[in-house]
Amino acid sequence: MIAATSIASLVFAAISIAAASALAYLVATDNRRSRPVDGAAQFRRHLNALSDDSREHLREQIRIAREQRQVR
Amino acid sequence: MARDLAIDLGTANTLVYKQGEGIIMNEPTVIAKNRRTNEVLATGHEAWDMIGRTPSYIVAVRPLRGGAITDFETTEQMIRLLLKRAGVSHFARPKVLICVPSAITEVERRAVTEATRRAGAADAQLLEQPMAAAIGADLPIEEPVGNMVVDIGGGTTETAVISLGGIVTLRAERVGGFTMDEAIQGWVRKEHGLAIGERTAEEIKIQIGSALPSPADRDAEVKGRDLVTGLPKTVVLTAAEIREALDEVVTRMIDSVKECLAVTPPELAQDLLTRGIYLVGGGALLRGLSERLQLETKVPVMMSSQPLEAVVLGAGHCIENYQALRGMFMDARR
Repeated sequence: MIAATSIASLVFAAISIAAASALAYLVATDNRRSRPVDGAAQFRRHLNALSDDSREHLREQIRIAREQRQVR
Repeated sequence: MARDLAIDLGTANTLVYKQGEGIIMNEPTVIAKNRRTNEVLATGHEAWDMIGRTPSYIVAVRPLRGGAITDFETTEQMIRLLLKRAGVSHFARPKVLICVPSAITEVERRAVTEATRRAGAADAQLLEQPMAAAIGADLPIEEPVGNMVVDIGGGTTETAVISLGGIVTLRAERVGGFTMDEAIQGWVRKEHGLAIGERTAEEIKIQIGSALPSPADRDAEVKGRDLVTGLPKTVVLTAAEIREALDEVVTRMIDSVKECLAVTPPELAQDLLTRGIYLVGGGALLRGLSERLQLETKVPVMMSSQPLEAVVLGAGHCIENYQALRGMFMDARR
């Protein structure tokens, strides 16, 4: 009786480990699978990063470079 | 956390931009090494002062010539030193964006990225100089209109038409500021029997070099070595003869721009008539060059407000917007 219970526990433990491993594998492969690239959104982001508004920092750097040149 | 870097690895000068800070380095692309031990003795301004004046065991070289890497080992040593000076270490590994001539070969491309990664960069990406120059010149390249930029560097002249954030047409010619210096050296040797060094030739170009006659034309006194007697000698050069010496080089540069215009789609070509051509790079500072280009192409020509820093400032903007603009990098388009 005790032996039968131990064997059943071992079987259940093995099944649980196999199920957990399979679940972990599925989650990992799903994360690794590349998401479909939204080309339009990416293109929009690209243009936005070059837009007039996004260039404030660049203009500041141009001003600094000009001042440094005048000092030299 | 390491701050990302943008490097304009030019034939003549190297500039480094640090994310959030701006330009942190601007110096000649020269390295002085001990021939016997291969040890680096100096870089930048210090090495520049040594050119043509070193004892036999020291060599001061430019590792890039004509927009091409002529000495891979030295280039790698230089990138390593640049990154070290910019604060890159085992614990602070930034992403590095390097601006290179568009005519760079596959071998050179790999050599630069590998050298940068080996020098401690977490990631190394390359960007064509004309694209960086257009951003740095503050051109509205995100709009659906033609923007033309001509980058005349030390070793190359690169012309690009850019619209909607991408290069439409591109032409690169291996002529630049150093080709002008070589032409002056050759002229003085042939016409005056005088040997002069590359630094002297550059000084002549800056003092009296031009692409068109001007009322400000003047003469310059030049010292060198007489090729017949071997003794030091002084000659006087006129602006007209230096213009003649430079004519072939200037013509090649202008022809390269015309070739780019010839393959530009008509819709964008007509934009250029109203928006004009923007000049960047040290070679563009030659007196009368913008006027001559305008005369020959019939397109208005403007000089960028910061011709020497435009490339690195444009690359700096890409570093500040790394994720959004990484589609522009050379590897991303392959």
